[in-house]
This record gives sequence, C-alpha cells and structure tokens, in this order.
Amino acid sequence: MADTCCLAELGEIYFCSLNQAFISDPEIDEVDIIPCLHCQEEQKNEREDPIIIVNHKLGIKSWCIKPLFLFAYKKLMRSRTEGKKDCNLSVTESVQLSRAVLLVNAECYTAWNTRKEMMSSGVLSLEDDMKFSGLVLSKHPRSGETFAHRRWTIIQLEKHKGQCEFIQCCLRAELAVSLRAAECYADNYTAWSHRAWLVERFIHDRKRQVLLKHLKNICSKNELVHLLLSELDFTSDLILTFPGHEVVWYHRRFVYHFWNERFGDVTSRTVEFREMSSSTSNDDRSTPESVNRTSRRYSPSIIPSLFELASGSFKLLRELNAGFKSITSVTGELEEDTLTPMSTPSEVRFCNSAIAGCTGPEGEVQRRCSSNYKQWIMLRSKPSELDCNGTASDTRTIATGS
Amino acid sequence: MGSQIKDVKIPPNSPTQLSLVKHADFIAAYGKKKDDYEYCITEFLRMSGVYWGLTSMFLMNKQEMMDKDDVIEFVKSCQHENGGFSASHNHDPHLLYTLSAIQILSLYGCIDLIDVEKTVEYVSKLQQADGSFVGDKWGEIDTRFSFCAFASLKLLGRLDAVDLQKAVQYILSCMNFDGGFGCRPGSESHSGQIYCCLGALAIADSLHYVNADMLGWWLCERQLPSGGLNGRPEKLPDVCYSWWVLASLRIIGKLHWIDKDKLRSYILACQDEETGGFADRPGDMVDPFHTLFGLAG
Repeated sequence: MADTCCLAELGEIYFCSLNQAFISDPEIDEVDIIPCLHCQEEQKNEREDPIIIVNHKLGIKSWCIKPLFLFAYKKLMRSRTEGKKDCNLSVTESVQLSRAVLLVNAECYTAWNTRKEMMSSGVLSLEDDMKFSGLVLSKHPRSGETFAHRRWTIIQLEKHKGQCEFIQCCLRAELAVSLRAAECYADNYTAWSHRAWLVERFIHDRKRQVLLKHLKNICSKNELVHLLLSELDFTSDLILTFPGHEVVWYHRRFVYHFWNERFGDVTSRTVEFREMSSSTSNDDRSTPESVNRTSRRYSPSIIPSLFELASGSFKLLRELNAGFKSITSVTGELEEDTLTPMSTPSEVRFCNSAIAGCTGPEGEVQRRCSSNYKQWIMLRSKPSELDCNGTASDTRTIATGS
Repeated sequence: MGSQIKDVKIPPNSPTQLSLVKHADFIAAYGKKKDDYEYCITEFLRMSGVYWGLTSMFLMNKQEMMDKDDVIEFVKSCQHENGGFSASHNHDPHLLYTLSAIQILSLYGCIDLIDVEKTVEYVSKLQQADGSFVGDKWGEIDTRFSFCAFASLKLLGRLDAVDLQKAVQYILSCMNFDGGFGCRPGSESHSGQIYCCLGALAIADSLHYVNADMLGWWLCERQLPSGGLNGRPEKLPDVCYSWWVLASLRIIGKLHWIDKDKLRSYILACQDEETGGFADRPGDMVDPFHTLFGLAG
C-alpha cells in the first residue's frame, strides 16, 4: 500500500473525476465497480481515467475505490464534529462527498443523514436525492440503510406534493425501482419489505374503503373457494414440475392455512400420525401430465422467472375478478365436496405423489419438504397434544432430513 | 431452477476442535488493525463491532486481552448531548449503537460512568404512538428497534420509562401465520427479526402470546442436512443464525428440536485454524461478527 499522503492526493483526483462524470452525464442510471485485478500498470499512470460511462452506465475501476473512499469519507466526517457541523463544507461539496461515500459504502448511515439534513433545510431537492438513492440501489440492491433513507424521502415528497399527487407521479416509479432491486436477488428481504411498506401506506390506507367494498362485492364464500383452489393447483403444478423448492412448499402452507382459517378442516383432527407418515405410493410417472412436466423442467425457456410467476398471479386475480359472474352458475356444486381438497388426507396424498419417483439431490430436498409439510399440518391441527418431550425425537429426525 | 441445492457440503479436512487461543488472538489483533481503509469502511458500526469482540473475549474468559480503559473511553466519547450513542466519533446517535454501548458498559459493570437518565430519556422518546420504536430522529420503524429499546432499558433498570403494553401489541401485529415475525406488519418471517421479537417479549414477560409449537417448528426447519442453520426458507446456512435461531428456540423452550451434534460440527467447520475466527460458511473469510455468534452458538 502506498503511503497515506499519496493516497489522499490520488483520492482527490479520483473524486474530481467522479464529479466530472456526473456533470458530463446527468442521466447516469446504473453504477458498478469494474474489477481490474491486473492493472497495476494502469494504476501507475495517474492520467488514466478511473471512470467509464457507456449508455448512462457508470463504471468505476477497482483500483481507485480505496483512495476515493478514504478521501471523501474523511473529509465528510471531519465536517460533522459536533459543535461545528458542516462548518467548512459548501452544499455542493457535501452532496458530492456523500455521493462518493455512499456509492462505495451504502450502509454509512451518517452520510445518508447529511443528505436528509440538506433536504430538510431545502438546499437539496427531494427528487434529485431519490434519483441518487435509486442509483445506489443499482449497485447495492440489498442495502437496508438505502431503503430506510428512501422511505424518509418518500414521506417528505408526500408531505410536499400531497398524497394524491405523489401516488400519481411517483408511486409507479418507486414500485419499479424496488422491483428491480428485488429481482437482483429473488429473496431480497429489504426490497420486498419496502414494497410491502409502500402498499400498506399508499394503496391500503387510501383505498381501504374502496378495497373493502370491492372485496365484499366480489368475494363470496364460493369465489374464495375458487381462488384458493386455483392457487393450490398452481403450487401443485410448481412442486411437481420443479421438485425440491422449499419456498413453493412454504407458499402451499399459507394457502392451506388461509383455507382452514376460513372453512376449518374437520377431517384433520381424526387423522392418526401413522396415516400421515405412511407412504401409499402413488407413482404418476407414466401419465401424460408427468411426461409434460419432465420436458418443461429441462427446457430452460419454459422455466418461469420470478416476474412471470408474479404476473401469473396477477392474471389469476384478473380472471378471478372478471370471471365471477360466470362461476356462480357452477358454484352450486362446490359446497361440501370442495372442502375436502385442503383436508389432511388429501394433502398427505399429494405429498406422497410429490415424492414418488423423485431421485437425486432434488428428490432428497423434495422428501424433506414433503415430510416437514406433513409434520407442520399435524402441529397445526393438534398443537395442544404436542408435548415437547413426547415428540422431540420424531421432530428432530424429520426436520433435518437425516 | 430445478437443480440448485441450497446447502453446503462440509469439506472432509474441516476443523473439528474449538481453537479458543486462536480466536482470542484473532479478536485482539482485529482491534489493533490500523489499515486505514478497513477501519473507515466499517466505522459506521464500530460500537457494535467492539461489543461483538468484547463479548467473544468474555465468553472465552480472555477479556484482559482488550484494553478496558481504551474501550470505556471510546464508549463515553460517543455519547451525544441528547443521550444517544453513535457508532463512532463524528457519526450520528442511533438506538442500535446505544444498545451496544450499554451492553459494553454492563459487561464491565460500570454503567454509572455515563449519564443514565439522559440515555433513558433518549430511548423512551423513540417510542411512537402505536407502540413501535424508531431507530433515531429520522423515523425508521423496525421490530429490531423494539428489542434494542427493551434490552437497553432492562439493562438500565428503567423498563418503566416506556409503554410496555403498547410496545408488545405492536410486536404482536408483526406476527405471521407461521408463528414467526418480520420487521413490520406484513413482512416475511426472518430468524433475526424473530430473535428480536422473542427477546423483547421475554423481557416484557409476554411470551404467552407466542405459538411456541408453530414457531418452534419454523425455527427448527432452518436446520439443513449439513447441520448449519439458515435465516429463511431456501437460504444458505450461516453461522450467525446458530445464535439467532438457537437463542430463539431456547427462549420458547424448544432447543431439543434441532440436532445439536450436527450443528456443532457445522460451527466448528467454519473456523479458520490458521488465523483464528469464524466465517459464515466453511472456507469463507472470518470476521468478529461471525466469531461471536459461532462462539455463542
């Protein structure tokens, strides 16, 4: 490592290059670090530009990150010593320094706070800051501090514009930004929590009454039956087509729970544990359906993406919405008979067919998911009978799949 | 989509013994490391880092390897006028680091070195009308902050300073159908958030609201065939969850629902025998955070 003095000077040079990049292209919408493991030579040449912009995408070469961050971080933090806050930095400097710091380290909450202070005093525009935190998310899609900062900014925007106008002009963009972050990692907790927060605040709050009226109008018991059965079929199809995915099994639990919360599962209480763990082999390998599934599994173009899955659910909801009037004619037959699909025996039957013919590592996971699901149903239906001492060993064996 | 199995295989030559001496050396050296960049890039969580290191040392009975006066001086210097603590000098006060600061001083048994009343005031002012807690003056809400507030006030002996009943109601509003908890109402269950919510409910004597069977089952399903625990369904195992999940199971009395021996070998396999310290998974880079949670597990 070069000595600190040179690093600091270099840092200032790189800092200027970064600022220049944002001036030359105000539409930068994505940023990343370009790994340059073998560019020692390049680094020695101080005139080499550390920044590349192609099509509004900003690339920062990895060798400039350390000096750039150190320069910006130290200068920004020094200015925040209590008692002389921001004493020697102009607004422009604070904006630029916090930008350089956060592009490298998005969790530096104090740097986000300097931006909140500037917005509070009206010297930094809320829209500009939203654009910047969106850019940070393109590099750090799981950053909790970035999403928290965004929620604060959204609340300010809402105060500023009024809720109606915020919803009209910003909500769609916000959903798009968070969906992009969510799609970078299918299980991005912070991004999905952010989306849940948006729905709760802007869709639920404002349209609560509309929604409730809507639900009351469209959701009779039979219609709910139809929705839940479609969702059950959807999970069955996914589980059988793509074996070994715990999250789909997990969603099936929700559907099962939702159903039984509303309609109760009268049969589950009479089922013995023995019956649940028995495996009445129900091999469906030879049916046309399963042949179709096998071909889908190995054809990458047919494997649904998260996005397709999501729009699949939307489609379902739309169908639900549009199709209710036509359904009511057949719902007469749906009464008691349709309650059995989500009963314990039917789920046990499904579990057995899901593990039949499943081999290899996927089959192993599928078997674990299946027996965990059965155990979950049992726990759910007779919680009071489950004494810790009595079931400890069974529980352990099934959960770890050993 | 079909073939990726989300677990790890423990390499055959993985460590099987706990190398305490190495871990103590690792923590001691980490505190003294002065690499400028490493220091600055992690400074936003320094206070918690010190707490993780110090707790590890206390667990190994090696606390004398860290300079007590330096640590206490650092903690005191991070208290702000409003009573809250920041992660480091020049950073802003936040509830997360206020708890870490209180925990450090409690470990040393010298909580009276700070202005306790001011700290209590800082924490209690963060409670909202609906019972939830914000992390700092900017207003982010999270069940983690409910736990931080409860734990801080419990250690300061001032639980009476907040509305416990309302706080408990808010936490319960974050409970999901699987018995677990998320960061806000409607958020997915997550092992770390579950630990926070259970910890807070335990402090408030409100565990009777929890469905221990359903939650216990969700928690013990976090154990994968490798023995390691993950944070949510279909995630990779990670040593830090041996703390979040184990402590949660302990709180609800279901510790025996997981396979202890398998977990033990997973945690041991995450050690780095050369440098000391634990990583999240076998073969990854070690750090103080995972070292504490490995040791605690």
